[in-house]
Amino acid sequence: MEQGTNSYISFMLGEEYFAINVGKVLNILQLVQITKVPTAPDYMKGVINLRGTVLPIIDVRMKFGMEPIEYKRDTVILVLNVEIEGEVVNAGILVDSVKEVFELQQEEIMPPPGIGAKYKSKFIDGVYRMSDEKFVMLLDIDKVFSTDELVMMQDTAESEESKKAEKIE
Amino acid sequence: MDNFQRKFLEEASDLINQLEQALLTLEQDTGNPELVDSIFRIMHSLKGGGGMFGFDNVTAYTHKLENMYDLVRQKKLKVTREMLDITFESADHITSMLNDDGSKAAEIKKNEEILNKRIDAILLGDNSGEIVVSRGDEVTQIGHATYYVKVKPYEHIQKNGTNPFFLIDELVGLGQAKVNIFYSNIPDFENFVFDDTYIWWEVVISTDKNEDAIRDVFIFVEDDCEVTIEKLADRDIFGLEGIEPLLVCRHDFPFDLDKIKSLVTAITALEKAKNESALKVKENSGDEHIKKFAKESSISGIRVASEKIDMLMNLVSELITTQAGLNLYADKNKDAELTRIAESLENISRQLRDTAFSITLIPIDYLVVRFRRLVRDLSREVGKEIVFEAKGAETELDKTLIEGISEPLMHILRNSIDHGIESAEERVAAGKSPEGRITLQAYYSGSQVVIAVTDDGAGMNPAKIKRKAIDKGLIPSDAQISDKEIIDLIFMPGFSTSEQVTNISGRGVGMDVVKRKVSDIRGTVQVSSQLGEGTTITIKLPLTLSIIDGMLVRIADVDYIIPLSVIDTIFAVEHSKIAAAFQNVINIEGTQYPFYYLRDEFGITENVPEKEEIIMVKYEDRKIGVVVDNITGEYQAVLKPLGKLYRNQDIFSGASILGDGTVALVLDTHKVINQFTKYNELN
Amino acid sequence: MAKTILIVDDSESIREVVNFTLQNAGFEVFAAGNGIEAQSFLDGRTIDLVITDLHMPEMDGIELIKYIRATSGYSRVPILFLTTESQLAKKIEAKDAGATGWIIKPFVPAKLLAAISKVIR
Repeated sequence: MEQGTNSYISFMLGEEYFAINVGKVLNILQLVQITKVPTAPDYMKGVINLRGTVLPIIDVRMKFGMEPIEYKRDTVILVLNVEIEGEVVNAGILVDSVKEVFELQQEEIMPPPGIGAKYKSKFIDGVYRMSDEKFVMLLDIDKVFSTDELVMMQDTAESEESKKAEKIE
Repeated sequence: MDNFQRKFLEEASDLINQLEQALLTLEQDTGNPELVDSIFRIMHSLKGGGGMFGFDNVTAYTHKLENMYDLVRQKKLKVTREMLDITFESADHITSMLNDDGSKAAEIKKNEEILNKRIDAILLGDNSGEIVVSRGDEVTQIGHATYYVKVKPYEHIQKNGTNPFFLIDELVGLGQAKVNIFYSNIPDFENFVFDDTYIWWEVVISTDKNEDAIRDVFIFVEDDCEVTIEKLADRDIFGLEGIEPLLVCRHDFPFDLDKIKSLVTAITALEKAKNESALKVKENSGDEHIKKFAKESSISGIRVASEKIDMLMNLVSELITTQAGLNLYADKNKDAELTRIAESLENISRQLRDTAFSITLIPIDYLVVRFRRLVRDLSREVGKEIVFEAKGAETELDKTLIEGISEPLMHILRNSIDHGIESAEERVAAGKSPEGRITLQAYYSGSQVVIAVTDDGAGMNPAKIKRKAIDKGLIPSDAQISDKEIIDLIFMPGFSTSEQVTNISGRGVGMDVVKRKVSDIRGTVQVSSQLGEGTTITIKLPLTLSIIDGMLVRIADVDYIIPLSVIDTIFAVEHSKIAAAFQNVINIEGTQYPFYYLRDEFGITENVPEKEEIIMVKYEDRKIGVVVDNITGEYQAVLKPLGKLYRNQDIFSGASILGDGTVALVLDTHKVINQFTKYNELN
Repeated sequence: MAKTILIVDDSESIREVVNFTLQNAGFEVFAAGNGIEAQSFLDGRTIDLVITDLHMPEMDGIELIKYIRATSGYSRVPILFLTTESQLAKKIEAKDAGATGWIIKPFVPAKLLAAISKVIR
């Protein structure tokens, strides 16, 4: 995995801390109106206008099997560089709030948690224990956006998740 | 790489493209001097540019080719198949020299040695001893004319140290010439004065120099000889059909000027008529190319880097989006002056958009050149005689579409050559002409461009395809499907008719790849085939990719755009009527219309309005209604891709940014209709 | 074997220019400052071309041309004379005297060589 820097940006999804290498992050945006794309799975929230280009927005909480995100004052969009089928594209993820940027040495990274974790551990590169004893999950964002995960499984995801979404409503 | 070098590379690849086109035409018309000139010029440009931009190897190599074609120009060599073959291979060779980063140097050198040997063989073989090194004159060929020059020295001419032979020699050096010598004035021995000159000359010379240059040759001897200059034709007459016997040199036999002139006049008139009819009947591509080449020397276009065009299109897109914002603001402010300015600016933006868009259009002919080459090379490789014909090559397509369609079309052609067209023996046995025929036809159809590739080959055998599909597990062995459906199986992933690696695409050819590539640029592929008669593959592409005139509509507070070009009529209907409709057919003013209720399709249930709008969209011969909540107005939509993540949502061809900065989705009504049709067929 | 050319001119700079140009073009060049010098140089020697100015002290160009034409062994030697655009009348005189052609001053090397190529090869 290519990472040009040891800097990470941390953010909250629900009560959990996550972090992404800053090399992957292009921008942090205030929440704007998202245009839903009908027939797409619910965790694909829709598209927004990012300076004239169309940016897809993903609700990673739903993707990780957590409750769908609630739009609050702190909710932001992280605009990311992700690699899909060998092509670098921009995509946004919704996060509950952004925390801080911190530095990390490779040896400080612990292996990802095993089976039984609440979220899908296959998207986690490793874990880092912060000074206040909190754990931060380091996200492998390319895996989250891999077509296997998003596009190919869309049919099943669509039916399952839309059912779930309906119940929530 | 510096800018100049990049520019040169761009130019060079253009030149090589032109070279291939000229070669293909020359192959059909080996005596055409204009084409030879074109090739010579191309070589010359490559040579010059190569030297200036650090491609010395290109310069050295093209110099050899230039020499070869110079000899052809001088009628010292004839165009042969081997010569054409060498030049075709040279085009590839030069391309690889230009693109080499040093890693292929050895390979290139080896290739060059072989080619050089072949060129040498041509130079030595056909014309032993006759070859003279060209004078190194300027190669500008514009304004060729043919003159008759009679040089009759007075007897005393040599008295002042003039050697008349030198003058004739100088004259002949101005171009291509035939010389008649007249000895008839030489007196008997008794009357013969050693120092006097008795012989005289007639010269027919074709040159790019003017009459003054000819007269200049004799400047020192104006008073010492009789020089007559007469223009025979405003063109190079050497090589014209039937002219040869009139230009035979026999001493003491004057040229028959009247005969030469009338023949040239006749040929010129004939060519003119032919060219004019070629213009009308765009079918005969050979003549067309000649015309095109003749035209190219006076082309009025300029070369623009494609990134600049992309940038222009982006700016136009942004302008139009900003324009939409301005319109919105003007509407809100109800300021008459502001509205007037916004409107006139919109008018200009629209014109700018159309002009900018037209710049990005490229005729399909651009690809046809490559395809001719492909068909030629491949058919020879597999030992089949195949005629390739292109109709409607002037049809223009967006640059991005041209780029996207090239590879799929190559695959299709390859398949036709490999599998479609039979061997000559098989064809004769089947009562067909021994040579196969592949036709590429392009034309506009509504808001689409259709490109059809037809071969008159063996056609597809449904039984064979079915068996193969069953073997590959694509369909169950007891599947009951029509022949049409069977033929459509070739588009399925995993159904590749050829696994072998080819040297054209470098990998196996599968129709599923073709289908995917075409749908990447929002096109469709269809196949129809008659066993024994041939196969037609039809690709349909959207005419425009980037900016469309659209109708802005809303469903549950979300904006959608429907292209204006597909909208037929619009009706307002009560929701109750729609709710009561049976099998999605609604009766409006006595006519039954099938319709598609987008709310159902999109899973939107809230806030159903009492009155809805049915927009009738047409596609080929079908009309289908699309139901939306309401219509907001017309909108110039700059189409943006929805991106990879939403590629399954192919009912949308893209998105567009509205004046208020939000995103609207653009409906692909063709897909809507297709889905509707499929849905109905299933039920 | 290189062709030999005699340049006759009283201007040293013209002699030098012609000498330089012609030597570079592969000719063997001799120079003379006037007609008298030219005469004594020619005495019995073979030469392929004479280039001479028309206005020179001691013996001018026309006289030199006449002399050369009248001398046995030189009657066929091409002679070019140097002249200016304004002295066209001199052309006729020089031609009548036996000159083969002329070179108009001022000249560039290409023009000089082109004129020479009309008379020797």
